[in-house]
Amino acid sequence: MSDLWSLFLISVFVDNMPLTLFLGLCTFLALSKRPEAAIGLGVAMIGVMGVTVPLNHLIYRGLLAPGAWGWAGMPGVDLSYLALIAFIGVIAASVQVLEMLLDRFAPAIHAAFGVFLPLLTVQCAILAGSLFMVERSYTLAQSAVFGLGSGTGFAIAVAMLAAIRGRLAYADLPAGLRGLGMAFVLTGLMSLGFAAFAQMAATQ
Amino acid sequence: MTKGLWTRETVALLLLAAHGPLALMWVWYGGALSRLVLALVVIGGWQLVFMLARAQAPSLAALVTALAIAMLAPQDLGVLRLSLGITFGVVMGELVFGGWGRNVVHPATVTLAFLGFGFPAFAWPGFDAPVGWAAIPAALIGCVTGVMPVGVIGGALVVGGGAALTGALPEPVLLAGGVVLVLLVADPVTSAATTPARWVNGGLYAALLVLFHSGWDGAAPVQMAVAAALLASLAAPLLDEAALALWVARRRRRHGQS
Repeated sequence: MSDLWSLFLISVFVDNMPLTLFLGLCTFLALSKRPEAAIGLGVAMIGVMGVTVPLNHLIYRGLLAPGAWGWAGMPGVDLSYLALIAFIGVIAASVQVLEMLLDRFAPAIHAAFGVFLPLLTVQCAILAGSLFMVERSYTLAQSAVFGLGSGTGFAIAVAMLAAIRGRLAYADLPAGLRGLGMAFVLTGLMSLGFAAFAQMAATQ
Repeated sequence: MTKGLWTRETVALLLLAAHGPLALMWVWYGGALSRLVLALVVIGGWQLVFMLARAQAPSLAALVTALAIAMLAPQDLGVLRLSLGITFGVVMGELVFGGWGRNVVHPATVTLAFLGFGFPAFAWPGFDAPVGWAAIPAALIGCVTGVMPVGVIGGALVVGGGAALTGALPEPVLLAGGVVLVLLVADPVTSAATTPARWVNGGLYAALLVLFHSGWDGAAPVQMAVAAALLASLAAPLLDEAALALWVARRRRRHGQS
C-alpha cells in the first residue's frame, strides 16, 4: 500500500508531466488562461489518464505483449508492435466518451475546451502515461495509481499556472511577452520549483 | 498601492526597516558586504535600463532584494556567475512584470533558485545562531507595521514550530527557515493576499521545509528553504483562488445566488 502511495506522490510531484518531463505543453499553455478552464482540463486529464493507463495495461498484457497468447497455444506471438496504435485507439475512445459527457452535463466547460478537447486524443502526456506503463513494467494496480497520479500532477500544475496568469492582470508586461511568451517564462519558473522534488528523489 | 502615506515606497521603506535587525546581525557576524554592493550595483543598473526603456520608476525594494541575495546566495560564486544570476532573477522575476509590486515571484527567490540549479557545486551559506534569531525581531517589526502578512508568518510558525517540537526540524534548518521566511516568503507582494490563503501559504512553506529535510539527503538548510519558498510563492495565487471560491460558495449558501 505504501509503495502505491509513494508511486502516486512520485507521479504527481517528481515525474510531473508538464513541469518535469515537459509533456502535454500545448494544452497546458493553451488552457491555462482562466482557472475554470484549467480546472476542467485537470479533471479531464485525471479522468482520461486514470482510465486509459490501466485499460491499456490490460490490453497490452492480455493481447499484445510477447507471450500474451500463450494460453491459446501460441506463445511465440508478439503483437507489441501494435501497442502504439492500440493505445491511441483506447485514448481516442475515452476522449470521445468524455466529450459526450461534458457536452451533456457541463456545456460551459465543453465550450471552453473548444478544439483542445478532441486534441486530448493526441496529447503526448496521455500517450506517455501508457508508454511509461509498458517501459516500467507496472502491474494493473500500479498502472491505475500512476495514471491517476500523473493526471493529478498535471491538474495541479495547470491550476497553478492559471492562477498565476490571473495575477498578471496587475502586471505591465512588454508587448512581446504578453500572452504565450509570459506563460512560457512562468512554466520555466514553475519547472525550476518542481526540480527540487526531482533533486530530492535523486538522493533517495 | 497609493492610499495617503501608503505609497509603494513607504511599504518598501518599512520593509527595509523590518529587515534592519537581520541585516545588522548578518554584517556583525561577518556577512560579505562586497556581495551586497555587487547585488546593489547590478540591480541598480537594470532598474536604470528599465527606467530609460519603459519609464518604470526604480524602487527602494531593490535594497531588500540585494540583502536577500547577499545573505542567501551560494558562496564563492565569483562576480560573473553572481551577476548572471542576479540579472536573470531581477529582470525575469520582477522588472519585466512592470517593477516591484507587479511581480508574481520574489526576484531574490528566482535569483537563488537559478544559482542553485545552475551552479550546484557551490556551497550554500550557513548562519550563526544570533543571525537566525534576528529573524524574530524582523518579523515582529514587519507584522506590527503591517508590511509583512501576519497569516504567512503565523502559518509557518504553527507548522514549523510543531515540527520543531517533535524534533522534525533541527536548529540549523529552523534558523535558515526563519531567515528565508522573513526575507522571501513573507513578502507583501508575492505571498497570498487573502487571510485564509496566507495561513495556508505559510503552513505550506514550513511543510515543504519539513518534507525536504526528511527526504533530501545532502541538501543545505538554506537550499531547502529557498526551494520551499519558491514553491510556496508559486502556489500562493492558487491558494488565493481557492480561498475566494470558498468565500463565494459560502456567501451563496447564506444569501442565495445573487
